[in-house]
Amino acid sequence: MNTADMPLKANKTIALAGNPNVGKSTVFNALTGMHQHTGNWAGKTVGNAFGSYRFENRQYTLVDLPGTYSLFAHSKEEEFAGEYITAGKSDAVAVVCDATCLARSLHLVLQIAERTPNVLVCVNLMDEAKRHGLEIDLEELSLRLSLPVVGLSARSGKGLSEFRTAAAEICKTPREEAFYVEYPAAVEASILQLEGIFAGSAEKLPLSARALALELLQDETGTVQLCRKHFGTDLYAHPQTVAAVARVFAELREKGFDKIRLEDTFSGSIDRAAKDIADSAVTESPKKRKRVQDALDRLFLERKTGVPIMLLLLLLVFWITIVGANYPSEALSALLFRIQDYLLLFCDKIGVSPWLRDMLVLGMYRVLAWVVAVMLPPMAIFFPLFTLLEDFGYLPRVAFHLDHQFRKADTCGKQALTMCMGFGCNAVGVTGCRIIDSPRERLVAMLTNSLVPCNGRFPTLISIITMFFLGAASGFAASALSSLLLTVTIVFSVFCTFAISKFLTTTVLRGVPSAFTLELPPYRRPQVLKVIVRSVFDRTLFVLGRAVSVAAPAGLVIWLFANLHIGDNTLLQICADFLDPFARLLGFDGVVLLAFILGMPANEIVFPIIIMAYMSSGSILEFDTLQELRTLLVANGWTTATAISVMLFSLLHWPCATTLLTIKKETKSVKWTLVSLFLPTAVGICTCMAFNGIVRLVSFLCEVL
Amino acid sequence: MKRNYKRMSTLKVGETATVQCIAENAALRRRLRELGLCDGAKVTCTFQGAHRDIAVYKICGAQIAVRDCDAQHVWVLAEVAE
Repeated sequence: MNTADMPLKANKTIALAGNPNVGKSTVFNALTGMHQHTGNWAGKTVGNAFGSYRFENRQYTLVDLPGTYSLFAHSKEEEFAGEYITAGKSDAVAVVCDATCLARSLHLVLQIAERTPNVLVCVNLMDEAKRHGLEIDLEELSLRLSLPVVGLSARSGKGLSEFRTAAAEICKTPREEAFYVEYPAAVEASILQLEGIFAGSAEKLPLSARALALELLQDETGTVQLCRKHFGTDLYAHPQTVAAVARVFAELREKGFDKIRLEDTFSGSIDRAAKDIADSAVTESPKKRKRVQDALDRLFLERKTGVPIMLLLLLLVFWITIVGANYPSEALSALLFRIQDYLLLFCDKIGVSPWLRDMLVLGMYRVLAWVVAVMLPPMAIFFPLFTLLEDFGYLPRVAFHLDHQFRKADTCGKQALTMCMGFGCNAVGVTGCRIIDSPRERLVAMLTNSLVPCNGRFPTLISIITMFFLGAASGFAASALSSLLLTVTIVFSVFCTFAISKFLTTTVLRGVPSAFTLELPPYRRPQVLKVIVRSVFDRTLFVLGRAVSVAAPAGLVIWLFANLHIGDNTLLQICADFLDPFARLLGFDGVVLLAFILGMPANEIVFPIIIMAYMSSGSILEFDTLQELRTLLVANGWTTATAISVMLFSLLHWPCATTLLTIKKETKSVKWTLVSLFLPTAVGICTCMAFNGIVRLVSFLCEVL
Repeated sequence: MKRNYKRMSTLKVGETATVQCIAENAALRRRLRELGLCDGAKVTCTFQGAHRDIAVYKICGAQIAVRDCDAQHVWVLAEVAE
């Protein structure tokens, strides 16, 4: 009988735990064939991902837990990982270790092994360790830990079959005991006492008596809550128990083990044991230890070179985006508008009424075509470039350079990381804010995230810059100039982030900055081809999906607006006229404001809507290049000042609907969601009004003088 | 040998020291210890920010950036070059 036909045995669950940035998600992807986003910085995985694979006729569910240094939580994400493991929700825990920094990883391994002995130790990044001149003796490690150990190089797919075999083995015959850390005599005595007290109730728990005692000693209230929440057991049901536990703690205090000392004892003992085991398993040959890494760090972190290089990299990314997007953009628009002609002919042929034909083709199809032709190419180029920098490990270095500014704004330095994520997608940036431990600072980071333009807003900015600010420049000069202007725009938006953060922390979200550590991971060679293929493919599909689900209906709405008449005027005119007086104060017209409002579901449709609206009411119907588009805009009253106002408003207005929903989900508060809606909007309105006021004043003075 | 106790935040770039203790009121006490800043561990300052208010330390083979206001709670014994 073929194995595929045999009935599946019961499903087993394996949790993937480990320090941040040791490649858990890479291991997860390699095993399950899924495409969890990976990146070279600590805290990339937020929430937990599930995936599965089949091995020897059994289904294994993998849970990719967020990275954590210990089971004692600092952030929401770590809390989740700690609870998941302590509550014994999986059949086995695979702890992914960093071969280049084994001692630190073993700290977590030992902590987990104390609680649940069913642990598989996966030493990942074996290839990287080898390059750094580190030799790891896996057998010795396994012997010392009394746990199964497999070596992995997940990026190149090495060691995966060993993992599957070992995982199957550990699920089949759960381990009863692992290496456990010995604590000083006084602490061991109280562990014994606690084991005795809870001997009865521990039976009902999936935790061993020792694990329960350890948990209680390190986090009493947390443990009681955990048992109530996950096992429905009230440890303190009897007053005698409470008293007995209190006596144990009192005795410890008498011997000098207060809370702090106890904490130190636990982490110190585990640390010594971890270092000891690592020392016996790792041999270091001092030859070529990380010379390239150090050189790169000198380049990227040194005071003199770091910041200029950061700006140059930004410039380079934009330049590649602008130059690279040109050709596919032209080709796509030529193709898609030829298709439009055919569609019109086809509709006529099968006898669709002109009204319906125009609605479908000139309404829905044309906006769709605009999104695909103008918006998609820059997005499909910028995103992979950004991902490459992320993969390389550059983002934490940016955070290092920007920390001074964030510190002055009384916020967490990790906000730089979430802000950078915002360049890709604001909704992702908001979710990423979970890496910030302090609730106050997390909120600041979430509320200010949409101030930096996301991938969907870049094409708008690029198009406007190309149309209005290049003058007679052409060729290389033109692309260099527009990248420079875009960089200036981005730097402006980053300064807005600082300013608004500072505003928030001096008004509604006052407080002292909390302490944090920022891990600077080793640089890794990005998997160029994989990143490009994946993000072009994923991004393209994503944007196309959004184009179909959002841009097409929006095109329909705007077409109806432009063609339904109430009295002598079209609905579009009525709406635009209604918004016009206010929009004029901002420096543009009602159509633009209407487009921003209709573009709320997705930022990338704002510009296509503007074009659609102008076209349906104007005389120009066909054009191929951005220069002709410029003519259309100028015919509708656009000047350089209008262009700047639109750019400003594009940077500073309400977050898109997806981002708002994410903020609602993350803050669980309508109030803060509303703040995130109105705050950037108010800032945008004020900025645009101020700018417009200055422009009018200057032009007035020019006329008078 | 001269004993030279100082705060971790005062280490100069390139200077290596041994961790003595972390002040009890330090918010990051536990986190820093988990990162390998246990008593007796070696720590080297590798880079400093442009405004000298954040620095990168090599701890247990990894590079960790810590603000000076947090690093000042860690007491270290600097190696004195004779």
